Amino acid sequence: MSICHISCDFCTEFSDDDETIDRTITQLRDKYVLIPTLGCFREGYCLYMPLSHKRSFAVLGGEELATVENELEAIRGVIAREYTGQVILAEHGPGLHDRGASCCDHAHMHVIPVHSSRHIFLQFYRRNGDVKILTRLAELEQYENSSYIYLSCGTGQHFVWQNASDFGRQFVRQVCAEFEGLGPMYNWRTFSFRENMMRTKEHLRKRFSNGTYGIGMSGKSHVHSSQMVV
Amino acid sequence: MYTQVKWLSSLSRVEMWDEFLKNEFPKWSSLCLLRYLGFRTLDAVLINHDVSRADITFNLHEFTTQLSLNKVLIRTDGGKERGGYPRGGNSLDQQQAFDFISNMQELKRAVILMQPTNRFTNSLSLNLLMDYSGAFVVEALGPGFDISDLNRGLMRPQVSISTAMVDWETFDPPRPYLTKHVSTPIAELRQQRLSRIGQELLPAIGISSDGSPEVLAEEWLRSNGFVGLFEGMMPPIGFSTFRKWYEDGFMIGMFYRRKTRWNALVVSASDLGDGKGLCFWDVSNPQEKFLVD
Repeated sequence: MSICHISCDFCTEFSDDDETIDRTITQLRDKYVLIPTLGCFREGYCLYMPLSHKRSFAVLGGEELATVENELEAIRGVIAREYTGQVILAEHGPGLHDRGASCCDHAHMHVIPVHSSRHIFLQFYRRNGDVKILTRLAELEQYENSSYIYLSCGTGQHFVWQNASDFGRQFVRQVCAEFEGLGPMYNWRTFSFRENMMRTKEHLRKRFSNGTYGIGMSGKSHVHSSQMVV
Repeated sequence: MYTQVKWLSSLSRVEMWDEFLKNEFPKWSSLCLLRYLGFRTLDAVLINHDVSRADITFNLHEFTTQLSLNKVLIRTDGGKERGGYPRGGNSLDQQQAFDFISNMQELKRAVILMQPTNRFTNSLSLNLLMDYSGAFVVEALGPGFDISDLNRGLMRPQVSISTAMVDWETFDPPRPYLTKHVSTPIAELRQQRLSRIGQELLPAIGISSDGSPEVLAEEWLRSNGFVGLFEGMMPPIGFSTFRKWYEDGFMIGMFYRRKTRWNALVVSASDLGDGKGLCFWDVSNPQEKFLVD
C-alpha cells in the first residue's frame, strides 16, 4: 500500500502502525476500501475510497474510473437492498489549487442511503443550477484539475457541478442530515454517531464477507480513537 | 430470425437519455425520461411502423409471455400529431393487438405495448401542469376515475391546487400559499364517468345494453367489485404531498429543458391502487405534440 508523506488522517488510518478501532467493511482489489463514515447519521452510510492518497476520483483516469463505477454500483446495490431502495453517491472533489467544498484531499465517495434521491438532487440544483450530465463516471477525468461536486442519484446517473465553492463544506452531509431531521448534527467532526457506524460495519461486513455480492473482503482498515468524537 | 424491439426495462440509463433526446416518438421519449429520473413507469416496448408482421407477432408473444399477460395495453405514438389521431389506451388480447398494430402501421404510427392496468380501480389520477410563466397546477380525480378522463378533456378535475410565481430556472420550495378549487361536484363527475364507461369503455369490450348506459355501467362496476367510484374518497392532499409533486414536476421540467425549451408541460400519473405509489404515464409538451401547419 502506498502511503503519502503528508499529514492525512485517512493515510494514517490505512497504515498498519496504529492504536485503532478497525472499521473496514471490505477492501476491493487491494486498492480501495469501504468503511462506515464518521458522522454516520444514518445506518448504511459509508465511504468508498482509494487506499493510496489520491486527491480526487477525477485524477484516477478514465480506465480506472470505469472499474470504479462497476464497484460502486455493486456496493450501491448491496446497501440499497440492506437499508433502503435509494442510495446516492457524492464527492466533493478538490482541484489542483482549489479546495472547493472538500474537507480533505484524500478522495472519498459518500455512499448514502436516502429517502428521496430526487429531493437531494434538487437541493444541489438549488445551490447551483449549472449542472452537467455525464453518461459515464469515466468522464469525470475531465475535471482532474478543477474542484467539482459529483452526485449520482441512481445507476447510470452522473451529475457534476463546477464552481464547487458555491457549495459549503460537507454539503451533501448537510442536505442528507436535514432530510433525516438531523440538520444541526451534520458535522462529522462533532457528531460521529458511533453506534450507527459500528452497526453499519458489522452488518455490511457479513454481507460482503461471504462473497455473495461478488465483492470479496480482504485486509482491514482502522480509525484512530482520537477521531471517534461523540 | 426475429428483431427484438426496445424494452423500456432493458435500456441502460445512457440509452434512456439518448432515447429521450432523440424524441422520435414523444410518448416513448417521455417514458424514457421518466424512467431515467427514477419515476415508476410500467414496462413497455416500442414497435415502430416499419417492423415486419412476423416481428410484431414475435414481440407480442415475447411481451405477453415474459410478463405473464393475457392482454396488453396499447398506446399509439405518431410523432407530431395533426389533431384527430387514433386513440390508444385499450387493453387488447394478442390477436386484437396484432390487428391494431397492423392498422397503425398503415398510418405510419408506432405502437407502445404496456402492461395493462385496471382503469376502474385507480385511487387517484393526476395531471401536473407546468406553465413556464410561473404556474404549477395539480389537477386530480379521485377513486374510480381514469387519467384519460382528464387528458381527453372529458371531465373537469375534482380538485385543482395551484401555486404561482414559480421560477423554473431556480429551484425553490413552493410557497405555502396554495389556491385550491373544488371544480365540479362529485355527483356530477360520477355521472359523467358512468356515462363514459357505459357508452364507450364497456362496448369496447363487448358489453352493452339497450337501456341507460349509466345504469349498465353502475351494475357492471358493482358486480365486479369496482366500487371505488361510489365509495372511495379523494385522498387528502396536504402541503407536504403538494410539495413532493412540485419537486417531481420541477425535476421533470428541468431535465426536459435539456432537450427543448418549453412553455407548458403536462405530466400524467395515476395511483393504481396497488400500494406502490404513483405510476407515471407520460410528459406532454403541446409544442412538440402537435404539428402546426
